Amino acid sequence: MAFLEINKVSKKFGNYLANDDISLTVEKGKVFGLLGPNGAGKTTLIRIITRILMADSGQILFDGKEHQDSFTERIGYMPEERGLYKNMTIYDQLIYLARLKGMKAQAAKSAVDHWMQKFEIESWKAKKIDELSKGMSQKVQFIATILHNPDLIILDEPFSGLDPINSKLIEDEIHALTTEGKTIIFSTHRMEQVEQICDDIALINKGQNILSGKVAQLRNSFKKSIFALEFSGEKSPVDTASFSIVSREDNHAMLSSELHSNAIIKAIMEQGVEINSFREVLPSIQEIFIEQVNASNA
Amino acid sequence: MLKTLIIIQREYLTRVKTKSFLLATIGAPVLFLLLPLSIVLITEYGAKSVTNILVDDQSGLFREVTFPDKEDGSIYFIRKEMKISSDSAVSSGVFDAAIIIPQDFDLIHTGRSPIRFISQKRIGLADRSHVREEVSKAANSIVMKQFISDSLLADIQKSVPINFERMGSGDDKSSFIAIASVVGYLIGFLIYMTITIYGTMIMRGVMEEKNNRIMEVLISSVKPWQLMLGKIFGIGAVGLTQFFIWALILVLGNVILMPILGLTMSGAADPQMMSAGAQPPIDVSEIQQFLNELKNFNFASIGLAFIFYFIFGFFLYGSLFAAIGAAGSDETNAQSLTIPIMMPIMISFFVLISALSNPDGKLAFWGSIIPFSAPIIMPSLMAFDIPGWQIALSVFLMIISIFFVTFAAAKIYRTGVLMYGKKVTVMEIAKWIFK
Repeated sequence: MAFLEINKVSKKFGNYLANDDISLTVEKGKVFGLLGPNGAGKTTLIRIITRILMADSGQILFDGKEHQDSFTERIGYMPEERGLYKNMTIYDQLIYLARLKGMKAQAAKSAVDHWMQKFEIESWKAKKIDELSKGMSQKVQFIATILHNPDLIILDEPFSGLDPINSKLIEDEIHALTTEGKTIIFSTHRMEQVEQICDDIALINKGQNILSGKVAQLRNSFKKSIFALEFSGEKSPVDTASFSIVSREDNHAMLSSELHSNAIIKAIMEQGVEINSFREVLPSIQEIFIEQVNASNA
Repeated sequence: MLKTLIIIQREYLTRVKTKSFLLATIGAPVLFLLLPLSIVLITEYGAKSVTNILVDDQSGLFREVTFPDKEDGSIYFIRKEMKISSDSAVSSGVFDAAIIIPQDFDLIHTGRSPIRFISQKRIGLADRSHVREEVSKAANSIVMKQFISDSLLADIQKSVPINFERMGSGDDKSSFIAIASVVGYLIGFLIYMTITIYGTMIMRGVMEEKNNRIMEVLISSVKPWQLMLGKIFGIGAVGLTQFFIWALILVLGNVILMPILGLTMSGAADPQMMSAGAQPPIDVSEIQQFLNELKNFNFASIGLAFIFYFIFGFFLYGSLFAAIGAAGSDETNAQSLTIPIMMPIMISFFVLISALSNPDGKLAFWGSIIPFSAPIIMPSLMAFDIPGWQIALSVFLMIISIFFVTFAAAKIYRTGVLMYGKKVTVMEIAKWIFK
């Protein structure tokens, strides 16, 4: 079921077309990766979704309804450039930010308590941002984003500056949120995270959506019929009508073939090669990303 | 609306709770009291140096006149009755200075053979003018005595009283005008200072949010205009709190201090008592006179005008400062952008000074009408009688311009908060308004 539907959204700044007829669909309870090189128009699109900016044309459906200002209370947004007030305690500013999202004072307090406890940072309550490390303030920022129990969470580079332990913490939290039915839009440059975390992606370049779909399907559709073989024993594989060797190193070989895996395995076995492992090599999202961006720039 | 209130609350509380607010609020009246006190102390200290001046009248013309000593006891004139020369009397240090009136001194052509004043130490300007004044007075009276009697001379030298009256309003005392000017100046100064100080505070607050990048989170929760209004109202309330505390200190100070000094604010009988020759200590009677004059002021209308123009002036300039804070890329950029805002404020203050000396003049009129100077000039002129239509026109124009200025400021603000790292010029900002 679609939670957010973006239909033909365009936005111009002067003569610069930041978003050019972008359409995409974000499924409810899924993690949606918004990818694209710097200056592609991701931030503009996010700002249109958060209603910081208004689109010049196009339509956005939020949970099935025409997008409107009051829905911003159901959105949690963590921008790439993080920021919190320097002259306020962590506790006070979390409550302030929650209240600006429409929470009542009492509800805001218990939500802040809950999350500080969950992230084990209750002892920081009275601290100010200046006293915290970058990673710590990142945690606070994440809490600020999800505090008001939003249905749509937009995270712009949520892992930048985090150590592996805290990265894991946030990653687990993202999964927990999706199982609760929350929808997440995740903007990043780091492709290995996209494969781990995202269900669907859209690739934006020069203001246009050049590619979108499910991560698994996309990788499959861009496969180049390359197979990885690991073998042992005396014999090593050689070119046949069924496959050709792309590269070989020790007991690893890359094969190219238009046939199905079963047929290839059969052909290898016929050569008397002992197979340790055999798998089809799918292109990484990063490879697809670079290829597609270069293709659309060409 | 509720969210705007939450923003106001934050802006207000985070500032009022700080030590610097407490310091400024308590410190300002203390400084205000210490300043005159320190002036008194300095004058007291300065008065300890006494100048003994030897009067060496070689001409004999000044035989019968006395040179009065300076009231504060810093200058004594002593007539020469000894044989030694004035030069050696001064150089030996017996006297600090000497006035030597040469033998051929001419009372009519005083410059022909001039009077000399010799001293070892440097004589200050105030003392010089005192000496010059006393000698001139003495010379004049000697000349006049040749023609008229002493008693007549005393009568002539009295200053002639003039009753200043304004048609329709009766008594128009100079002391009233003087005090009205002082009151007006203080009001204008207060508004000038608060707009500048709190305006800068608004600008810095907006810049902090922008540079901190918390802005992005904030405007994804509330509309930029709510954020801007919240900041202006919140910081304006901080200013009003400060005024309120100062007013409280003033009132309490009056309640406590006035009985101690034996003063009353009502004091209807006192002017008669004073003219009848009862002698309260001089300084107290002056303060009492001042208080009696203050009674003639319409404090309700002055206070009302002050509050109205403070709020509206603050809003007018505050929204501009907020817009600058949003547009500026960094401190230096913002600083240079404030010039077009600071200019009218400063010009208004200079206009105020001349407007107070001529409250019915053209400058005062236009200053009180033009919305950018009215917040400083109009409440200052309220101590004088300003025609009702002039006030109405000023208020009307003020409200109209608030509408346009905040609208323009909000547009600048909205565009500015999303602009990062780009130095903007005034011209570019102007374009944002019409976008």
